[in-house]
Formats: sequence, C-alpha cells, structure tokens
Amino acid sequence: MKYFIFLLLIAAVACSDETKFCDQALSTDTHMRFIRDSLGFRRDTIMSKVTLYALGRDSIYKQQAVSDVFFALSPVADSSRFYLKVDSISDPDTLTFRYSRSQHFISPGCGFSTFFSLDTVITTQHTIQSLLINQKDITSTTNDTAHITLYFGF
Amino acid sequence: MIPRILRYTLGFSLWLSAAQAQVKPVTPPVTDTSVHRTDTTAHKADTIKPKAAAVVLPDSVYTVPGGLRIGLDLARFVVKAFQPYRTDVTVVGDYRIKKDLYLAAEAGWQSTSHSDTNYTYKGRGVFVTAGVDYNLLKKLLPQERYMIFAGIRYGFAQMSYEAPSYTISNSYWGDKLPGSVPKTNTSAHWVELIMGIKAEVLKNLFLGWNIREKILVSGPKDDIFPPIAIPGFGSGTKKSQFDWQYTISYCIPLNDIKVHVPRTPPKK
Repeated sequence: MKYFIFLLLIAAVACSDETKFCDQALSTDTHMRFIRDSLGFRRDTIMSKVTLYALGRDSIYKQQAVSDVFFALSPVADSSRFYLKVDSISDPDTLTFRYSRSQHFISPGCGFSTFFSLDTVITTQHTIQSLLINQKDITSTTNDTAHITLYFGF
Repeated sequence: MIPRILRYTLGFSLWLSAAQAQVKPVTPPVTDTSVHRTDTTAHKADTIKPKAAAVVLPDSVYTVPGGLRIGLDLARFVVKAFQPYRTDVTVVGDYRIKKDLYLAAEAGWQSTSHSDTNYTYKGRGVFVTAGVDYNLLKKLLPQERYMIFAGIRYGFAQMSYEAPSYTISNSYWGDKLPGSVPKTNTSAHWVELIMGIKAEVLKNLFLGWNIREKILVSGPKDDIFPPIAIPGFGSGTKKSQFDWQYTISYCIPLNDIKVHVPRTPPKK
C-alpha cells in the first residue's frame, strides 16, 4: 500500500497539467508616475483629481487622487493617444505614444500577450513640464519602476 | 544550474558509498565446474611447490546471465491521464556488459495537441537517450537479476511545433487580436540522473520503476514562443524536470558474462 501511495505521489508531482493554471500576469500595462518639480526640488506627488482616458474610449481614471497611473496601450495599433487632466483647475494634456508590438507566449496556462517597446512619447505642455522614459520595454514582468515619469512645474 | 548539479552529484555519491558499504566478497558458486577446476589446480600448485616465494593463483571464474532487455514505459499512459495534451510512447532497453554494469538506452515519440480559448498548439517529435545503469545490489546469487540501480543518461530530442491560432484579448480596448506562429523546428539536449529498481517476476520478464531528474543542457532558443513540451524531457518551460517510469521488459538471453574473482594466497 505504501508502495502505491509513493508512486501516486511521484505521479502527481511529475504530471501536473501546466495548461490548466495561469500563474503569471498577462497584463502589460504602462506605468506612469507623477513628480512635482519646485525650483529643482523633485518629489512624488499625489494629484488630486486625475482623469485619464484614450481618445475616443472610456475613462480609465475619473477624478481620482493618485500618484501614479497604469493603462494599456492599443494592441492593434502602433500608436495611442491619451487625455490626462490631473486636477480641476489645470489644463488637460494629450500624450501620444509611439511604439512597436510583439506577441509573446507567457505560459501554457496563460497563452499569448502583447509586449510593447516604446519609441517616442510626445506630450502637450499645458500642465506637464517634461517627461522621462525610464523603461522602453513594457512586458508582463512585475516591476515597481515606472516606465514613464511626468514632471509638473506648478 | 551549477549548485543544482553539485547537489545532485553529492547526493548520488553519498547513496553510492552507502550502497558500497554493504559489499561482501563474492563467493563463487560451488556448483560451477570451472570453479572446481581452478580450485583443484590451485590446491595442486600449493602442494607441489609449497615453498614458492610468490604463488599466483588463477582467478575464480563464474558466469552471470546476460542479454538484451527491451521494454515499454507504462508510466507514459498515466501521464496521458494527467496531461491530456501529451501522447508519449517510450521504449526502454539495456544490455549487460559487466556483472554490475548495463548499457542503457531509451527512444520514443511524442505528439502534443492543446486547444483552449486563448490558443491552439501542435507539436511532434522524437527523442533518444543513452547511458549506463550500475547495479548497487551486491548480495545476489549469480543467476538472480534483481536490480537496485543508479544510472545516468544523455538525451537528445528533435521536434517541431506551432501555434495555428491564438487570440489576445484586451478588456479596455475591446480588441481581440488574432494571430498564429508558424512551424518551428528545434532540438534539445539534457542529462538525466536515475535511481530505481527492476525485478524478474517471471522467467526473463521484468517489472521496474525509477525516478529521475532531468537537467536541460541546451534547449529551444525561442524565448518568444518556447514549446510547451519537449519529447523525452517533459515541460518545455522548465530547465529541470522530475519524472518517473514504470517499465515492463523482456530479456532476450543472448550470452553469459564471465566474472573473474581474483584470489590471493592465504597469509602464513
């Protein structure tokens, strides 16, 4: 009996079905952080009423107090444009992302996902002072480092 | 990778040394006529020249059954129950070259087919492994063929795979991006460390099982779309893989193997 239990345990360990479970993140969201620049002194800041959406699409954030935002680039186009308004009094900005796309196999349980590689990011400068691309590659790998940092001068 | 190999090597060595500790001098079977003949010769040599400075006694010789053992790995059919997308057939074989040493090889075929809402996958390939098994069981009568063995194999697989269709969904953009990945041909190399047993349940018919750790030496280079299964190795997304076999084999008796037991003259 012990012999068969041992063999069953071995079988269970060796024969797990990898296609049944998706244990990795499939989302490849762009992470954007807000920094306030006051006379050269830079610090993370929480914007009081952030509204963010892709032009022609639903809101991703609607007047929420956040210090950074996560959003998906279009998986069927090589550029995406977003509307960003960070509080009720400042003027909104438009960000244009240009990038290349590639499909990656994440795992047998998860299937495929689209990875992005940022080429350029252009923004109007109504409220945004400048921006910095920290990471060009947007993948499913969990990483606390923001892909883009936005600097605000007010 | 290197610490893992060192860990396995150390564990294997400890097990081997523990098994060697039970070694007892093999006593040639009394029924063997050749033993009688050599014993008699040795006795005569002792009586004729009792004052020889260095007496060289001929080896005792006896035989153990050899042959080619061919079988089937039944565990592959159990794997099919756990992993329905895999169909494997594995033929195993070994050939006794010394009393405790066997040349061993395996060959097989694998077909992989998977389909869900995200993607479809098809793969097919063959593999072969070759190496040796060493019998650690020392307290055997010459005609007994039980084995508790440790072995090592080098494996090679040649395969092709493709994703005829996949869909990437995006809830925000509302897009379903279809695509496909064409057929890719690739190969893989790996090393296996094995421990197991074999027992002769009927004359020349053996049942056995073994556990093994497979360590990928080089595999498919495609990081964008690796295979979900490598023939003979297992998962295509892992660098090492634990596996097991349950084998039924038949031994074709081909030859006997002579075992020489060196004898030393008794000390005065």
